[in-house]
Amino acid sequence: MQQAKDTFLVTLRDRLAVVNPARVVTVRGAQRPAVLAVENELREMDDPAECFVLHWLTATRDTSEPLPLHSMSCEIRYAALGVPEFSGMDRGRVLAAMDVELGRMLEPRFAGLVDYGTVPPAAGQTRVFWSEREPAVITEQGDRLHASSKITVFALEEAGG
Amino acid sequence: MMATSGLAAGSLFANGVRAFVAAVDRNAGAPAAFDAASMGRFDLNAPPMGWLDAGVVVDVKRSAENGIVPIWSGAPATVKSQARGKIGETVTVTFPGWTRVAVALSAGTQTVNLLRTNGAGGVIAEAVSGGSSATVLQLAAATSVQAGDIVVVEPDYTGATGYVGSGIAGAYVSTAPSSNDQHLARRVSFNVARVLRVLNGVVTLASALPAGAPAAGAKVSVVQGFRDRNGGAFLQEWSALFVVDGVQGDRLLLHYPRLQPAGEGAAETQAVLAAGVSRWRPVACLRALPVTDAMDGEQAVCFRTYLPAPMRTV
Repeated sequence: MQQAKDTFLVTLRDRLAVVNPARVVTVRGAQRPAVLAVENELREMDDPAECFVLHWLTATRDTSEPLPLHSMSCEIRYAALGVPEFSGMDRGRVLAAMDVELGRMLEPRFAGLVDYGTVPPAAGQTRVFWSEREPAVITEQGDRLHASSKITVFALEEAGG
Repeated sequence: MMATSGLAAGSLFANGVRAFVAAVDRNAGAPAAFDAASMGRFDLNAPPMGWLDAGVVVDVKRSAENGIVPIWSGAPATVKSQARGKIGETVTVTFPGWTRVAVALSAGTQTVNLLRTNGAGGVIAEAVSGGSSATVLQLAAATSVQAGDIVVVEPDYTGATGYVGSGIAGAYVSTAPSSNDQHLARRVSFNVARVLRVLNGVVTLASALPAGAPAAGAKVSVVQGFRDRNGGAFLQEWSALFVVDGVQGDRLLLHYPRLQPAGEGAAETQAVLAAGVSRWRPVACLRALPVTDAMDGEQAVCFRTYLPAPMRTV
């Protein structure tokens, strides 16, 4: 359900701009809050460091609701290199700060559904909502410290959605 | 491929269960009319007159309490015959939506419309003018009713004893109250609908009022929500139909002429969908009461009807 995915992405992006305005990423020459959905970017792009990257995984549609309920598993990946001045020795601290930011970006765990496929975007009549985060899995890959956390995003299918 | 002989009858494959309910005439003790022979194939999106669409329901469970007991005789004892000691059945059903009817069925007892009040706490009730219908209400041009509101339509309660509510009994007054609440009928009524639009006092409803065109003297109040209580002596009574449409064209109908609440009061289920996300649904637990089958005078609590798919063996 594209409207729900777009709504979730824009919600996190807008909330990050409030939580930490300095956390930005430059993609295709444009600077924006550091939240991306990998499926919206160039295929060959690697996940940028110190940016929240959404990977959409499974999707189900529950028709036992009068309005079908979509649930979509989303993996949020983020990684830290640390600053060159410290030779990366602060990458754990950067990752911890991003973890706190993500927690704040995800609350409250709902947002009004918006159709960003129209100009101007059209507000829906329902809300997108999501689960709590699963515990983050942290791994080291070369000079990067990676974190990955999954949540489930839910949305009711409005007419035309 | 043209079939010249019937296909073997098989299982019924279905996607869901649709529920329909209708008011029982409490004064006459008469269930809603339903004749499976003439009405069994009704369009699920246009139920027979008087039947309300309660939506797609899940987890329908029938629990028969029929006491067919063996009669033992001889030495050693053998079953010489059997006899039905009692006839009873309960049915539980889960509703996906918190509609007015679903709240009422899951509560079992009296349910109340929470009426919008003015700043002083008094209920706002606006008179309905002539020319109104089940779907269009004529109110004053300066009406406070807005698009999106839920409205209830009933005349003032005047202190009469008996069942209260147009079309569907929402409460029973056994003794005349010493202090009359003129809004009582609007509080307990099922005669509710969502407002689609309002233009110069002409209120268009999204669905027809269950009781039809407003009665003389009817007034409109805006409903903020629905409330039930674990308590009270009033027991609702409904006729119910559960319809299982098979994908091959067959249909199964469970017809309960009389259902009253069973169980222990208002109930709901809570299912965890994901960490921190749960789904709450109202659950009705109902007991089937008997009616006399006009065919042979026998008593029964439920009628199950199967309408075969075309060209199936019997």
